[in-house]
Amino acid sequence: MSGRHKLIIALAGQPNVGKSTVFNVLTGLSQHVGNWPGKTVEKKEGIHIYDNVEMRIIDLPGTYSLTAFSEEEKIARDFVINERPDVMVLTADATALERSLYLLSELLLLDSPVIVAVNMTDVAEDQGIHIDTDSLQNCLGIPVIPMVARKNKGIKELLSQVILLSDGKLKYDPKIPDISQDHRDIFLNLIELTREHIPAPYTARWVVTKLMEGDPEILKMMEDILPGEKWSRIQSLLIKHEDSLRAVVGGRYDWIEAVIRDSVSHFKRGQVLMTDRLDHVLTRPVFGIPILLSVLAIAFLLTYGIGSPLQGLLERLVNSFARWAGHFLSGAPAWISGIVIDGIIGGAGTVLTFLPILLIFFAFMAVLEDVGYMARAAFVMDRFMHTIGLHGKSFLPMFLGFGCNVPAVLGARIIESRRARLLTIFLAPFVPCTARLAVLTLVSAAVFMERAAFISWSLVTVNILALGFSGMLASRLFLRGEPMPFIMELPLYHKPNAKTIGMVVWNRTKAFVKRAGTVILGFSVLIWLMSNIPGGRIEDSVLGRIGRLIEPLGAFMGLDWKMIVALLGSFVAKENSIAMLGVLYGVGEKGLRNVLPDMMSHASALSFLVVLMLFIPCAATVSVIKQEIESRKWFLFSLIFMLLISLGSGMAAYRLALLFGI
Amino acid sequence: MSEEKKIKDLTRSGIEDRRMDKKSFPVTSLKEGEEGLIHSISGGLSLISRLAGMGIVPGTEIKVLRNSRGPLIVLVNNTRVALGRGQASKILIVFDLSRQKKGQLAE
Repeated sequence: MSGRHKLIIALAGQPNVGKSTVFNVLTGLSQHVGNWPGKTVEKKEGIHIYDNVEMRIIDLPGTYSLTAFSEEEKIARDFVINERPDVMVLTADATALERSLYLLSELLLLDSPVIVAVNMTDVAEDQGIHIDTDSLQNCLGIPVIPMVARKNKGIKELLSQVILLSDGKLKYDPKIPDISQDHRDIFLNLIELTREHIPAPYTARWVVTKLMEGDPEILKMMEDILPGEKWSRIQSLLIKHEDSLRAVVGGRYDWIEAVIRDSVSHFKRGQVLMTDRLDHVLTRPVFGIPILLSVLAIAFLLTYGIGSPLQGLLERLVNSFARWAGHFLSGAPAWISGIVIDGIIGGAGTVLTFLPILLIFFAFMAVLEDVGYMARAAFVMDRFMHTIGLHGKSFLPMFLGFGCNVPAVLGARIIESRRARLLTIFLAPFVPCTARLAVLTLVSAAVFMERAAFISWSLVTVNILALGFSGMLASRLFLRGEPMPFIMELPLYHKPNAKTIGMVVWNRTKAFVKRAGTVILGFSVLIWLMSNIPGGRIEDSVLGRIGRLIEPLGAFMGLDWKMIVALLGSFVAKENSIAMLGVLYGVGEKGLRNVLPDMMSHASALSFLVVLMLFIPCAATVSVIKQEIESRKWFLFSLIFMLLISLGSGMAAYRLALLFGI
Repeated sequence: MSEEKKIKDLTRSGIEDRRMDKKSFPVTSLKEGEEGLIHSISGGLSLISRLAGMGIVPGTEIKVLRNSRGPLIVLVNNTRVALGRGQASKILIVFDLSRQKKGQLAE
């Protein structure tokens, strides 16, 4: 299998061991982020060329073990079994070698050779943990490299060992853990029973271990393959020894303990780590919650303080670009310049001006994630998330939604349970994104003048309340089930790493720009066509007619057909509704801020904003929801639910506003 | 072989009839800062296997770092893990022998 000049390298490792740092160092900008075929699990791969060898590096999903209890674990092991990478690199955490070795004990049962890269040896030394790599190498029988990936230490050594190993020039004689003594007989028994029936590319040892672990996928596979009589014998053996999993796990930890005893020494004890000192404050509810709120407030202040002026700047740039394009296209037919200037530049271009705001917000979030704070935020928020049927882990994706709902929906992937993932995706669009906040601040400033800030805050609160209400409703009525397990590692705090943060921000931003360039662009052009065909006045266009057709419905909410059309246009991108209001009210030279107060009553404006904030999400978000939710029924339900709740709330807001004479 | 090590061996490789020798109780009943020795996990395969991957296995020392209402934080094998109360209550422990000698057993 091992080619001379091309190698396939799989990176394995548990979460929080610095695997992505290793991956980023190796692949840099050559990395490509996509999906595993047919799955909503991220697949990252890239190319590294070293010593005239082209290495295709595949980043396996970070998992704690390789049993098929989660999608990620299935993907990781299926890849190794089916694709047989030339070498696997296991990134291990030097500060917690025991549990890293647990994953190794599973990898060694597969066929590809493994190199262990013991990462963060510097942090371990600080904590008084010394790892004797030579002795570790002897105990394991496979190559071991000490490494500090963040400081680029050990990477070269790793690569040269990878090449030597793939050429068969390194000693490779792995010592594989046994099943614990009391279950050895049943293990051999099972091997005997299955031996003739193991399908390629599996090995009997691996399959039997998985049977004893109760792995649902392998149990099913063997039930289908084996003749009935043999299967029932196996079944009765497994039922009789229902504690086999404990024997497998026990055997692995016996092996780990023996390895650790010989190669790890502790020379400082009883010191209090920085992580524990910080956690003493940050995870205590009394301090933790106010601190979390302040951190988030800072995130917003920074994002808008720096981002908004930049956005304004870009907007002026886009406008002058549109004027320049106007001159350039002055000879062309009106419909061409219309599509280009109003459709493409005005629609998709305006969306892109939000890039600085998003960049800053994503960068801030990525820093919080990278230093380890986000796991603490999830811990502190856990009890609140329970009231809406979720647990702490859903907090991070939801909060990303304040930037843009697209990464929020994509971010729901970190949640293991399907039910919780579905609910998180369902609720994410209730979080008001930067685009909606922009429309909100502009319209409320124009119409409500000095009360604008109060109105804006109230409407953001309405969204949060709607999120809570919908979560409670959905989790109790439609998504009932047993409480979801909440098991989450709290990594050590560490200094932010520019490269890791850079890659996270880059990938999230790329996802946004890609949507702007495809979905949003397409819909911008479509909306332009609809508002210009048949030509002449917008009132007579397709869009205008649709607007007037639903106007009677709008009357309940105090919306005229122009506002309805603007809402429809907000489906392309929420910012679009501002541009559409401008066109529809014939703003011209006077500017939207001066025209709006005369055109919208306070009650109507309030209703318009409420509907806009809760309306069907933008096209980009809808497209990722469809992709991630993996269920047509839920996708449609989510859209209809948003539509009903937004119209209902709009109506309520309008009636209340009239009642109180706002 | 030390006393502590003996207990570890009993619980780790698992000798069924010794399981009930020690009085075990859920880790949720430990106060912040207290330590114990994991005795068994009384949960389904998927829970046992997930916890095993994080180093939470019988025979390992476990320290409770945070335990008020809501989720817990425990320290196992130098790894900090947040656990929902439901999951944590399935981790059964016995007091560490060293502590037992100091007469700090709850009984």
